[in-house]
Amino acid sequence: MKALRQNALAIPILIWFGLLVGIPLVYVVVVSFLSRDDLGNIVWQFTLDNYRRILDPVYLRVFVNSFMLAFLTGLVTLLIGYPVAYITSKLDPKRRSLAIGLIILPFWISSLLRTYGWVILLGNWGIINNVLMALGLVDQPLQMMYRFGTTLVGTAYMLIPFMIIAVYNSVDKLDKSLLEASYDLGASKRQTFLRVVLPLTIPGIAGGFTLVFMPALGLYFISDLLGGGQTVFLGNLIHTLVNRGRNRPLAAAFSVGMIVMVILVVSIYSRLTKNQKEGLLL
Amino acid sequence: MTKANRWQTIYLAVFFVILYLPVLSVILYSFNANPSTAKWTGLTLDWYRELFDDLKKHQPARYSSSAFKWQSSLPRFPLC
Repeated sequence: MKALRQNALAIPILIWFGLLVGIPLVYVVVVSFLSRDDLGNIVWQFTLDNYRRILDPVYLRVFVNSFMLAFLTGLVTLLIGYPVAYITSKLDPKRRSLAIGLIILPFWISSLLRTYGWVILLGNWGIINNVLMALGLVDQPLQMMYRFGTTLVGTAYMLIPFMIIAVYNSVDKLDKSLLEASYDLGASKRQTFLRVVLPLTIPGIAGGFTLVFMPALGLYFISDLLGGGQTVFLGNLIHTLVNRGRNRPLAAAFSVGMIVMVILVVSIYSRLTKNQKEGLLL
Repeated sequence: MTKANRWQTIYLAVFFVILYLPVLSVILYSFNANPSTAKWTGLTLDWYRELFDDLKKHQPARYSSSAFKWQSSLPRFPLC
């Protein structure tokens, strides 16, 4: 009874999550086991066919593509974002809040619009090619659009604030006396960074990686606009299956596959941060 | 300012330039006389004139702002 009263405040949010997250999730899992008729309507007939189909090598390739994109996005955002977070945390308070503001500000602008910005920049007759040709560095416009790398740039660009904020929180909480101790004991700047700072910020890195990995797996408009459909990713495939293919059971099976991938990453994350009290997720 | 500090400032500055480059290029191309983003044919305010001259065209903006206000992302599709 006492426990119930203590947790009473959590009940509304649990109901909220149960209704808006739990039910749709269960619905997706249920649909993934159903079949459809010729018109694309869902028929209440149990089948494992959808799961058999997603194990087709052609479709497995899509899982690999998506995993590669999400993993590389995590890696790129980490390599670019870590220094940003590290430098930002060492700025004086006034400049620090300015920098944090500048990192968060792009979120206020439609992500679709920012993706179009990359189209304008990278297109064959886009800004970058025009500048390069005006400088005489290239004779012909470089083909930068509609490649895997273009999608990677766009996705990493969209998600890098998550990584920076996660790492920043972790670097900011770092006990400065540990750094002093490291210097006192004769460690160089590099040694201090590799042996003290980096291991202590692993929870932040893992948190940022998870926060970046999960949306990167599902974003589909970036690969539509920048990748031109050259490489098929899970998000695009599910989108096409629902809207054009009218095959919702198969789309649901793919979604379940995607959820499994996310669960894998989150479980690695929780293993990495098991000993830490602070956690971003879970 | 030490040497290391200067490099850090440069890194941060370059990062912010790249972060805002796509947004700035969208703003720049909103003044492009050509309807395509592939060609630059001079400056114009035509698009802004068009944006403000028709009441009907305000509708999307109104929908967007009310969606923003109420977060009304209710499902639009029947379940099956």
